[in-house]
Amino acid sequence: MKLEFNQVVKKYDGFQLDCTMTVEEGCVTGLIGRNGAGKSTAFKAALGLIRLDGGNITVNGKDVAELPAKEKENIGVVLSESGFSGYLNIKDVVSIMKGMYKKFRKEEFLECCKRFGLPQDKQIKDFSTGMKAKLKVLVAMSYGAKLLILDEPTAGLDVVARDEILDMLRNYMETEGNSILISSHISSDLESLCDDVYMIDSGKIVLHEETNVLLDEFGVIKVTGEQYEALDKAYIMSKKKEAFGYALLTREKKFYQENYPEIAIEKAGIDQIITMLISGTREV
Amino acid sequence: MKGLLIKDFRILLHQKTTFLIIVLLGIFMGTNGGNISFSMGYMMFVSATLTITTISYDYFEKGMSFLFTFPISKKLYVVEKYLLSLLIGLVVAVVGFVLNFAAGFFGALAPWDEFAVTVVATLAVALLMIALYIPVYIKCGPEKSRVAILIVIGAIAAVGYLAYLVIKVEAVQKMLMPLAGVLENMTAGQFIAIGVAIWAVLMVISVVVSLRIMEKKEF
Repeated sequence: MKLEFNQVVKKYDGFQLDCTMTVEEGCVTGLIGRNGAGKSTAFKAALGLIRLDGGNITVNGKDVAELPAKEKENIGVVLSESGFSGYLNIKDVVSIMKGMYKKFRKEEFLECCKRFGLPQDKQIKDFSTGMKAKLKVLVAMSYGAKLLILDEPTAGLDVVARDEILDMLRNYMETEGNSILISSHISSDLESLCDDVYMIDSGKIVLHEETNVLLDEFGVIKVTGEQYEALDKAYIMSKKKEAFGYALLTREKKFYQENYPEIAIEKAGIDQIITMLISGTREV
Repeated sequence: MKGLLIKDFRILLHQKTTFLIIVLLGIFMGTNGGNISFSMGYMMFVSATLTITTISYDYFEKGMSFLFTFPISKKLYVVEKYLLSLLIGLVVAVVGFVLNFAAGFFGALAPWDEFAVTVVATLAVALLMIALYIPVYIKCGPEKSRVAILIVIGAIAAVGYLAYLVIKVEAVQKMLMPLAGVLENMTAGQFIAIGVAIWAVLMVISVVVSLRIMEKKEF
């Protein structure tokens, strides 16, 4: 399924979401940014939970605000701050899901719960943070949704559980036409999973790039004050003052490697790119 | 609808001790006072508030955001709460039926016609009470609703008192004389029909207000 944000505007006191982005069919798209950058607002907008002040959001060309119940059955959701009532247990969840979704796969869901060590009779409020996170993801994937909208799905999970969840998401993407919009504070998750990444800051998209381009072509140049003065700054995106001089973000790592072999250039990960773009001084 | 009802009944099942206490107190009141009407009224009113409990659970820990990711509409959510109230009322009526039947073995059976009138009347009034609570709880959420309900009940009482003062004015009484004449000549059936019509109008107003409030809500 294809998810499109078309010039979406949502205004709050002191904050405005202003965003255009697309999750292509068959793709995993990451949405990254600091706390309060607008990720959760964007997710709520995508789910039709808030009214927009401008623009629209479509799923396969249909406005999410007017999406019929049958179409909503094709969307699986994990929200970071909410889920099933803590007073319910997994047996309750199974009954509810059977009542809510025609395509709920009970046996598969219970099998996954068993594999992830989630007890059926224990109230969810007594689950650990990791168990709650696993349950949310398993629920979202339990009825054959064609689009997953996942807000911080791996938050609170240990490394092993996180890998298991990521493997499940990779398996999910093997089905043709499936798509995922995901946000995470764990950049390594996004680097290994996403086809492309949008970076959001103060409600605005500040960067959109394919993940392999981010990892292959972006770099952080470490230079002294003198080296900085002599540097061609045509491809410098952001500058940050450091103890030794400057850290510079570029998306033309090779240009600087070839023309300035004496300077140190590090591979930029998503964390570094966020830090440089948000706390550095924009050059372009 | 089915999924929402299952969710609410599953949540209420975890409150089964509360329901059991309501029934036991109902039995206690029925056996001590010997009045099934009072007992039914008590059980009906207290059980009716269980619908409000489910709204509180829905709001808990930003649960509404998650709830509306399900394939349900805001309209369906509102209608389900009214239906749930009716279903809870019917469950209480069945419990009352069983209790009255059992009372028969101890020689304390209430006449079935009296019992039926009691059930219908208490159910109707309990639903009216819930019809007042539902829009307030949807509008304000569980935290602020306790105060909001007091304000709403206070406002209704104030309007009632104002109406009482107005009716006491001689000129108004003269104006209402023809109406009093009409009321005096009405049969019991006509009274009931008017009562049912007023009840239905109030219920419809409550549903419409709840729907409008819900449509404006963001989660």
